[in-house]
Amino acid sequence: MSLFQANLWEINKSFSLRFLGAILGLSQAVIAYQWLIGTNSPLRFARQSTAVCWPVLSTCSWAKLLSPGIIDAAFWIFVVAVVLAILTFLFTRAAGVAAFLLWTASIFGFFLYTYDFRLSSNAGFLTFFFTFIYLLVPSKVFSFRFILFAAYLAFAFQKLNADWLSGYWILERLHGPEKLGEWLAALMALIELIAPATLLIKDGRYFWSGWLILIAYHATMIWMGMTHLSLLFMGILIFIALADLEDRKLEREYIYQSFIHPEPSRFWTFCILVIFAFCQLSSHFLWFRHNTSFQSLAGLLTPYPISLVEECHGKIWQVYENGWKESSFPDAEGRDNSMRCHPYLRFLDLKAECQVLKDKPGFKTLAAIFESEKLFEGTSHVHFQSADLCNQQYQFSDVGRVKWNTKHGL
Amino acid sequence: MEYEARTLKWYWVAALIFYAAGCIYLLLRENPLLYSQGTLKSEQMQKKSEALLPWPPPSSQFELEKKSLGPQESWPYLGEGHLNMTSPEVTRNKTYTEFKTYPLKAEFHGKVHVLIQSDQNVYLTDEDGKIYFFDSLGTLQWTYGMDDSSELEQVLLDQALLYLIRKNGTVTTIDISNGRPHWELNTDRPLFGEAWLENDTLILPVKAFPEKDSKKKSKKLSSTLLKIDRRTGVYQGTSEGFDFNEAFHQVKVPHSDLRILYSGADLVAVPKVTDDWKPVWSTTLPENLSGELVIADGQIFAVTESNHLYALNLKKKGDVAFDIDLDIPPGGPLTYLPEMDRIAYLGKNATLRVVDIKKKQMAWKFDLSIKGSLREIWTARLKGAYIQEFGMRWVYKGWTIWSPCREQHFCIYNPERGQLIQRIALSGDPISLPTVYEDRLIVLVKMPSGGLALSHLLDPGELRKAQAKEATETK
Repeated sequence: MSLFQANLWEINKSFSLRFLGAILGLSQAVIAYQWLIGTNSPLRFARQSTAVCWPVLSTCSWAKLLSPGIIDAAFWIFVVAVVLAILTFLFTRAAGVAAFLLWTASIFGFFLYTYDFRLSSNAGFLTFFFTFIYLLVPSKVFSFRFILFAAYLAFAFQKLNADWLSGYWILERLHGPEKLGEWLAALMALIELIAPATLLIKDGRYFWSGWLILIAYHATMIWMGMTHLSLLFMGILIFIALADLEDRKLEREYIYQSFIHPEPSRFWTFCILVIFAFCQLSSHFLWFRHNTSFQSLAGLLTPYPISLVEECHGKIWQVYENGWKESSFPDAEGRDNSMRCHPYLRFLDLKAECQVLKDKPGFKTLAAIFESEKLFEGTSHVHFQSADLCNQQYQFSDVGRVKWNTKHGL
Repeated sequence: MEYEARTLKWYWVAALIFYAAGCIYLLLRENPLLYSQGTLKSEQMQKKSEALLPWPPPSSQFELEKKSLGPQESWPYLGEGHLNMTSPEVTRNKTYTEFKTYPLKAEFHGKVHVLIQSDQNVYLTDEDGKIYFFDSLGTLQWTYGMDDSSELEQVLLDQALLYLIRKNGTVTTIDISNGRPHWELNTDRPLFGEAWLENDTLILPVKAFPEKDSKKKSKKLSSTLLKIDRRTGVYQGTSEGFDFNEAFHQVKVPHSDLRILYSGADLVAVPKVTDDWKPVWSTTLPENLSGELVIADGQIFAVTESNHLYALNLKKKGDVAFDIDLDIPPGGPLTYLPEMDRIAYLGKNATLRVVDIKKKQMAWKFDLSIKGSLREIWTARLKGAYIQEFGMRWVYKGWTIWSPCREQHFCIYNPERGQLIQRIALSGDPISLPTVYEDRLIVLVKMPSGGLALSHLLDPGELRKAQAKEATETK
């Protein structure tokens, strides 16, 4: 209980933190809006016969026990709570009520977000990640400076590859000269690597130059179509600027926080930073790289690369009692671009297809092969292959152990 | 918090500079050549052709039930070089009797046509692109449904695999013993000619991209030949192709080392088995070809779009030996009649036309009043007794014309005078040439009810054996 009180005290005393609460609420509201109008929505998935489990869960049949009515109700509670939270944060000083509303919205929103793996996205991941840090971790201004820096670095490291540096992603949006795309890509990676470091510096010259560069960078990203994520980052940048101004005001007034209230602990900030950094780097360590369960867990705190120049091909056959029939992979429409070639999602798409086809006369199973090709490297990788994909015993954890011609007696 | 110290210490500035330098180093390490979009694309294109890999990978493919793939099955069934003739070594009875018909039971969608026939088996396809494999007793062994990503262009068959070759250059092989896909290779190049099997390799002509395929930039060819391992689908290499304006056809020259490729008005002779397919000779006719070439006795017979028959001399690099106008437009391929220097064909109007190529004139014609759709004929040798009985010349060795005739019949004619030798009754109209299995003809027929069936025609000896066997089984 004291943890909640300490967090509420922090939020209550600072206008900048109330502003941050409104920004995080706004980001959740954008997610709710996208679910309301889009096809990639829990409201729609609740009405489908199968759920797509998150990689960390071995089963998610519980999701199907909930009727669409329950999901609808959870969604509308989420919407109402988040709208009220934004209004309370912005227009009242009732930080306790606002935090309670944001808690309610976040719990319902996060429940819906985790309801189906197809809903995962960078914007969703960061919104809920930042919200829970905001609500739970003390010393919030300090935490957000470092967490924001860590998030920028995570995205920047995703850009340090040929897929991004070729400028392909930028030229798809700008249609300019090739060299321009290449230089802009390099410049943007450098901005994400260097500019956030200045946010940790108290010297105004460094702080404000870095801040302005990042604001301009996000304005450009919004112009190029990456709206939600950039708006979220811009909101947090404005919060950091407000917090810095607040800090300077306190300094001028010679009021020490420790005099009013004990200095909040920074222990949790460092814990989260270490876990976050470890998740980003886990794929570089040999043992962790080959541990599917750990990779699934680390994947929860790892953003998707936004610029993979990757093509994926899949081929499926419906196997009937008297023959085989070529078929096409289920559509990935409405899904985040970075997840079109996601092997686990594609695997689960096919498991869902098994459920759809199981009552068709003579249907036995699905045979499938799925591979992706890294265009720049010219290499392709077969992610999974099976001549009996509908076999109950064949799960994603068996991928790699099961070949096309293997009978699944796992 | 040390609010007093807002000015940055020199060592923090140095750390920031080192950090920025590290970031720039990382950036340059990841993109040392500062690849541009254009470089990326060319890298992609180059590596893609090197990385052509079949699905599934060879290590994961199923074992084939038949160990040996064997040679390419000849199609059309009756003979090499589109001769439409049964073996010259075998003489036949004129009397064939329908022993039984075996209905083909399957849910066909739309019009059905024959994909390929082999020995006693038949592969059919319907408008949905589904392939049906029936054995000689009309039992459906398996089906294979193709998606509509690209139109099926050609089918090849050997003793273990059925090769489905699509317009977009994708090859899918099916294990004929169980109907399971064995491998698939997407070449990402449109097909540009008729593929063939050679030793352990599938030769696949695809559209050439001269800037990539030709080392000499000046030499621009319209096609490239991809060599693919028949057993695993592994891409083995590329050879320079040929310069035709349109996709080409090809036919092996019987009893020769040559293969003739043709498209539009052009014909090119290349070695049958080679690595570089360098043309031996080439020739161009005054107008475009229509239909298939027939190659026999050192001559190539070709019909053009304006129904002109050309005979080209194989020994003289394809020089035109003679040409004549055909009065009746061919409705199907030509059939060469050995020993008597005659060509026969069925016209679009179901008239059987025989051309004397020695005298370079029309010999005789006869309206066969065919009710069915088949416009193909074949030639076979009759036994000596019939040569005597029907007053045929011994020098012609009993070669006769076998053709669909009237309603639900095959007829045998003497090619010399058009004399009717025999009528063979069927239960339906034949829709493709028969396959010949020892002394048995297996014919795909369309029954009056509209269904399809396999009709077994037996010569008297075979018929007696089959009836006796059936009686024993009944007991």
